[in-house]
Amino acid sequence: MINQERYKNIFDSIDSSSEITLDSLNKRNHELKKKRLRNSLYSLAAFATLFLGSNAVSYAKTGEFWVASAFNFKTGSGMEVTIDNTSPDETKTTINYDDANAKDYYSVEDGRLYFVFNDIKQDITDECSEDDYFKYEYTDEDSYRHVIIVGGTVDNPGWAEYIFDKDGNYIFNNMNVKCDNNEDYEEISATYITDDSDNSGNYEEDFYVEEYSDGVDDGITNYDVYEYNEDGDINEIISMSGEPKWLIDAEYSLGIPTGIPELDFEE
Amino acid sequence: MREPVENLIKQYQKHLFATAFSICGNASDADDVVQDTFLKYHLSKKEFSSPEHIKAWLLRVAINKSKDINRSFWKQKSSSIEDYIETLTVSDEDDKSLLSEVLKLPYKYRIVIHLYYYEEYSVSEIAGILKITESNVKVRLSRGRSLLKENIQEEWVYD
Repeated sequence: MINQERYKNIFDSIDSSSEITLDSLNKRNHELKKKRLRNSLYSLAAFATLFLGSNAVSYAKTGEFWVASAFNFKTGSGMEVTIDNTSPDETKTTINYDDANAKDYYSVEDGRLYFVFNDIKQDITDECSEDDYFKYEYTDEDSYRHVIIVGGTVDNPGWAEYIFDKDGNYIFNNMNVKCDNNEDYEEISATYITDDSDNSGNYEEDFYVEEYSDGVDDGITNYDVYEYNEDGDINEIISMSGEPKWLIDAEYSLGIPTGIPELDFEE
Repeated sequence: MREPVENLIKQYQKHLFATAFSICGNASDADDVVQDTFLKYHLSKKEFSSPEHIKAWLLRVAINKSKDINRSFWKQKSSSIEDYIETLTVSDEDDKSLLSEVLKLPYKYRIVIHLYYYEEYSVSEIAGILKITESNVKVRLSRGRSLLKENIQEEWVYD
């Protein structure tokens, strides 16, 4: 027999082991990275795969560890891929992304927004807004094409860098864009419609969508889309939300896959 | 009104941890959620209408952060739920299997069950916290209880 008292007793037995103080909060604030976007996490795996098979990166072997300084961005952030072959049963690949000392591709001075890159410092204030962005491209010594986007306003700027290989394939992004978390969620039941012509209906009832307001009046409706597997647990998140319009437009123009499905909402 | 964050930590750390744990299913992630929730309050300048408003806001932030962690690549899996449950001290060993089954429920059912039975919120209050309709709350409570009954072959008795 389950009752409320029993439920409460069980959860009363669970307790946190960590001590939270004002000091610990201030320290955590200092340590937290401000802008980490989901695309970067998805892209890291693809990026590492590319470099593992690439002749463009040299590896230094130390014992059974192979370490590659895979990429150093002009912002000062870097990524290291480590391959651990010490276990006979598995090969472990670790990706370490370090942007502790990273700088931005922009600066804000006296109410103006500047693109900053190497010796370049260009006033791009009038080219940028919530809807518009400035674009800069270059090709590095390994023939990777870099497209740097700076957008937003003087009060809320951001940048994104997209990297393409010499065949023009998109492989990775790096960005620093503020995406506000807003606590006002509204859940809407949705039927997910895919690009598949047969619309097999496997997705019906397996998705739900949360619409939320990001406080920006940009005409963009923001959603998070959740997919449940047959056990009712979250299988995958397809999130379309949180990005400012200038970034969405830039990614669209560059052909960056966004994974935005068509949705048919039912109230 | 606002309360000093130190007071809120004393008052609500356990509540937030239990809520976060009920969604994340592991203590490490729940610890992070609780810390980030208090940090958000600490950094926020938001004014509240009452102490109850503060608590509801903290819970909603903790719930949303727990959901974020659940879908993150970097979700920690420091130990299995079963291993963690074994470490708990409870008066009735059957309670451990109940906890295990609760944590297996889809999280949208777990949240409402937890807010209803542990935090003792009403259906309308839960609807306000989660920003869903009252009928949605009732449906989730009912489905959560049915699943528990099915899984542990025990009836939920309404007090």
